[in-house]
Amino acid sequence: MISPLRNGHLVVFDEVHSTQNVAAADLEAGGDYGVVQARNQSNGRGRRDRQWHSNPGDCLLMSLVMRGYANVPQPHWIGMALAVVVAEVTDAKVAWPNDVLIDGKKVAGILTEVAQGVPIVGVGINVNTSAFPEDIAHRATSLRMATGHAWSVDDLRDRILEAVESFPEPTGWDSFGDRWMLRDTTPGKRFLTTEGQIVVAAGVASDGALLYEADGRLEKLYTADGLYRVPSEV
Amino acid sequence: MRTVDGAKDRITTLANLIDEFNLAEATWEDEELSISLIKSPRTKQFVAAPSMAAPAESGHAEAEIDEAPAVDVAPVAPAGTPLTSPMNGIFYATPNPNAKAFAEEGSTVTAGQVVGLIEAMKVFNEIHAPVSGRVLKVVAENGQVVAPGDVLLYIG
Repeated sequence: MISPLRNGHLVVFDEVHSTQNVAAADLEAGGDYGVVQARNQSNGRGRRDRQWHSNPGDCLLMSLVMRGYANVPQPHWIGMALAVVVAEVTDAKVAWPNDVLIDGKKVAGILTEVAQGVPIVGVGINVNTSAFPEDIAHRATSLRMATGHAWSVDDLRDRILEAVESFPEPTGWDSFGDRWMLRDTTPGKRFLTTEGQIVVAAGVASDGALLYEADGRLEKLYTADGLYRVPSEV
Repeated sequence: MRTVDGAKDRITTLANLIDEFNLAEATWEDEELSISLIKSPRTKQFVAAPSMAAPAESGHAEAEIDEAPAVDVAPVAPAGTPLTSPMNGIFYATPNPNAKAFAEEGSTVTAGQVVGLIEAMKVFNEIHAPVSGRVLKVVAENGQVVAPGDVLLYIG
């Protein structure tokens, strides 16, 4: 996989609104940021402007400017590949489409956006977080909470970027589906469709869609939200 | 939607079948369209895709197109250039849930301008206007599931 550092450089900020926004603005201005890292984000974003919570220094927050994949027709493969990379480096699991989980709880999020035709992959990892707000505690974890020891955020960043470089070209399911499946926790996981229906996942299709069973047939979803078990259901 | 292009595609398919299997004629029929392509005995050549507007030249193939009433064959499509979805996903007309639409009917867009987003696997893919012009009709609704080839909007 073409590392964002092959044709861009690493820049680290103490605090930005959002590494995704900084990366996109630099790209638009003709800059050469390859990886934009922030110690803290004041307005970290997830999908459709959902908030990403973090305490200063506790998380690895970075955006990878994937210039080597400008104008690829299916940029979702890059985000899914990054989820596998992060899961392999942190010994975690993956769930459709690009969640990274430990013990069923989210430890990292991936957000792929496209600016000027270039995929920008946001990677947010809960590294040394010691506690989460009550409303998300049942579905969030950190590497420290999962392993019992602190991690170096910058070492983790470097290991992930090295792993990106040695990862297969994310051209489609055939290129890394085996590595996805080794860590896949999608089957059996519940998802909420945009129509408000709850479905139980059967797995991931070869085009990257979510598969679920309905009336004895496999159906596909291209967008859905993963549901996490609340403590009362465990 | 049955269009002239759709008829052309079917004629091309029939012509290829005639060629591949050395047939004398081939017919396409569905609810809206019936096309018979007959290889002329006067020549071994035939026109692969004769235009509906300009009938096939004499001496080549004859394309007979039996159209159902015009309203069924070609429902009135807005003039202009259709912008079709390149992928499966969810169409969004707005950059985020509380924002204005990228392109409203009647507004003017320039070629390359973002006129919508399609989300697939949580990636938001920008959809760009193929030409400059006025948005004649927005076909896809915000949040609608779209498939490759579905018309999103017309620009003219």
